[in-house]
Amino acid sequence: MEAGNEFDVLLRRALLDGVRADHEDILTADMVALPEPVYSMGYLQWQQKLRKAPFRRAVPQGRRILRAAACLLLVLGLSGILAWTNPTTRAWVEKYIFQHGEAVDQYEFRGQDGDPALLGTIVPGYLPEGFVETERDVAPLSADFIYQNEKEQVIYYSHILLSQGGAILFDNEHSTRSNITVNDMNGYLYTAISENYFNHLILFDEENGFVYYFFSTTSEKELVKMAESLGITGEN
Amino acid sequence: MLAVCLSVLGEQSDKDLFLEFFSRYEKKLYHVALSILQDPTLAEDAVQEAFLRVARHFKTFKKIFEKSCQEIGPWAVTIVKNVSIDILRKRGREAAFPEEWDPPSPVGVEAETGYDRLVALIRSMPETYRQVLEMKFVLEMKDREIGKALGLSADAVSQRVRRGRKLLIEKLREEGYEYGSGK
Repeated sequence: MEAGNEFDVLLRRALLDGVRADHEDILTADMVALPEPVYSMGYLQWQQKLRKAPFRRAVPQGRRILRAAACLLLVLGLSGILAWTNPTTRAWVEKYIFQHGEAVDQYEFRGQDGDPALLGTIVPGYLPEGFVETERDVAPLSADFIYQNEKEQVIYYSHILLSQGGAILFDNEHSTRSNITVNDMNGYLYTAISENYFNHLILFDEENGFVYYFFSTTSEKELVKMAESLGITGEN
Repeated sequence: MLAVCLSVLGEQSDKDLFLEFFSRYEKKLYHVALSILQDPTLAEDAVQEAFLRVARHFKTFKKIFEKSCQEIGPWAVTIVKNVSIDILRKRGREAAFPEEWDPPSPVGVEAETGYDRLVALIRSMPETYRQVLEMKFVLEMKDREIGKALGLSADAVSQRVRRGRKLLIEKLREEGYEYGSGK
């Protein structure tokens, strides 16, 4: 290990010991010895909810939206709860079947699964000015990212591993759809036509068995630039 | 004395582990927050945010817990301390933490180990540097995340980390202790 790294390991331990020393009287005290806090009603209510579902309470609102959207789309696709009027089926690539419906478009996956080890490692190298990554969550089937700026605008990016028979659906009532190709990947761009609706960009990485999905109320051009900059990093 | 170890609990679900941690540390973290914020309502806010952060970064919690459960206490205190400082900052009360560095006088190379001296220097260093070092090395936050939390650019964070680290190494060298490369 280099001298610099050795010092950093030592520094970390010393920082922890510094905190421990600063608050030794509290950290080492018996619970009984510490004065009993008089918590407010609001705090006690929060405490109750946290005890019931600690990890749900911890998920920021933005990510809940992302997960809820992804889960809803996948569940609807797999359960077939759709009303098709004049469905158009177009197998434009080997692995994805596209169907247009009355209120939703569906993309059904027919190919091989992607490599789960790559989940979370394929990220955009470009971010619109002012945006930084604020959340990241790598789950068994998808890696979700949230980017925000100081104006609290949000861009959501999901890197999704679609198993055989999975599907993704998009609301087509509030947007116009156009074909798009980014870095030799085919996909669709859904541009919002209703105020405060999201722009969506979905790309199919046939080679690796993934779908890259961006959505935001910010410009669809920025979503395309982010997609163009997708690359593999070493970490997830 | 060492922090209460949760390892006696054996095989547990994440939820059980978190709830056990919550029940053992809630009161302690409340009192740490109260000692910084001097306000029970703000201390409640700090505790809430701290536990939410622990839940959000539960993988890190488990990594530390599995490696050395004795680090869990100070790690959690570092989180609630940072949250408390953020609350003070947003209320324009940063003056609660002095920015001048007035390190305690060294006891002597023989009487005090280099490590003890490092801890003493850290405890006395300005929060400007200490907080960034804690966020970087203890909470393992990325420069961008630290910058967002502190209203700084990632470059500014990186510079502050380098400077804080260098100050510690230089002080130790002045006093006869040799650590690190000084980068």
